[in-house]
Amino acid sequence: MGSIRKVIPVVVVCIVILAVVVTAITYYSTRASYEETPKEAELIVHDVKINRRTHSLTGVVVENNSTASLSVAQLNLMKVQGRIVLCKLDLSPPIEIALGEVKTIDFSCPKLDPEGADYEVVVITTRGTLTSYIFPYPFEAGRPSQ
Amino acid sequence: MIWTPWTAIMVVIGLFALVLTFYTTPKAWTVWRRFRTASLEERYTLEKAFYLVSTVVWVILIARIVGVAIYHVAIETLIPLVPGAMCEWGIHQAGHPYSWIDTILKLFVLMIYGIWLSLDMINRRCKGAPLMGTLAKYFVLLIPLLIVDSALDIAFFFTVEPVVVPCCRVVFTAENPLPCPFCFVMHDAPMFMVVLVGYGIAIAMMIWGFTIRGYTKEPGDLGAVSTRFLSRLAVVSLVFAVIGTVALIPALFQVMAPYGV
Repeated sequence: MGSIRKVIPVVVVCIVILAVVVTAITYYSTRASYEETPKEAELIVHDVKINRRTHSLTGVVVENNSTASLSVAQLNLMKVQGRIVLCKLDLSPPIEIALGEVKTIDFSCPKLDPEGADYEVVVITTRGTLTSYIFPYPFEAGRPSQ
Repeated sequence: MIWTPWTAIMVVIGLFALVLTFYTTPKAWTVWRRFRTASLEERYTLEKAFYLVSTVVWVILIARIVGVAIYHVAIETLIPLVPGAMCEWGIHQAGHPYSWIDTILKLFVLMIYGIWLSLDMINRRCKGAPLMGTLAKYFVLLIPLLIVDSALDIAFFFTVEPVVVPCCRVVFTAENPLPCPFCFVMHDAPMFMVVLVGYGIAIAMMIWGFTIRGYTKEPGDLGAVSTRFLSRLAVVSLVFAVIGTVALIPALFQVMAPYGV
């Protein structure tokens, strides 16, 4: 019984340290995946469509300003303060956006926090580049945004 | 102050702890100062006084420990009532500076109060209450912490007004390498609350165990009871560490696996 008394605190400390390391690795590996992706300057996210009654994102408005058509392969919604991907949409087949076209891509995410936060929509193209757009919901500078 | 059922409970718990602490202090002081030199007859009187002190201190400390959980619930209920507040960070800004000191203090109170409660459990299982003087002394030493802990709760909740406050977005921007801890734990990955509580209790119990360890070498009843208690504490500590680890798996999934469409 005496040995158990001595071993258990060591085991508990090891478990806690391991948990901290695993959590940190998981968090930073998930977060770092976008930081190394090159930016797509020619694809612009103009706006997002939100259903305020259900606190859900319904669509993303994108415009192609490049000299050729671009295809969107994936959409992600991240919460800026938490840096966690809340929703992910893999587009199969990818949605093509013609030269100069403005298109609304349906992207349903029912996870917007009614208490408020900043969100970042990350649009990833088939070229492996990305563009992003940050928006607050539902407050702006302490007042409900219009 | 913004009155909600939870802030009202926090204020009541704070006032309740202050009143009971002031009521118990002279009795604990008397037990501590007279215990060593007391005659057999006087010792019996002190023991009776100490049992009252012990019961009241249990009520105070358990209320303070339960108050840690209610404290966070109360803050969460205030978020929709303070313009600009999006998480507990905003409410902390509204209750500045008491809020920050109070929250930091709340991280340690379970560990500190638990030491007294553990020693009292051992004392109650021993014949002749051998730790009576020690417990009375420790309680007197705990009084400043109890007063500060309770007073900070009252000051914090009385300071919070429905004024526009800057929230975590000011500090935790897209460039910040760290997430807002309140957003992360309370809103984005709430399973981490179970992880934190599980590991927190496990670590607190280990600290209580380190304090008790000195008494296991004592001769007679005190040594035997302390040894048994320490073994049980170690096992329960491991159980809470396992609970934390089991909860860690879904918590990590909340970080990794987004809502797929």
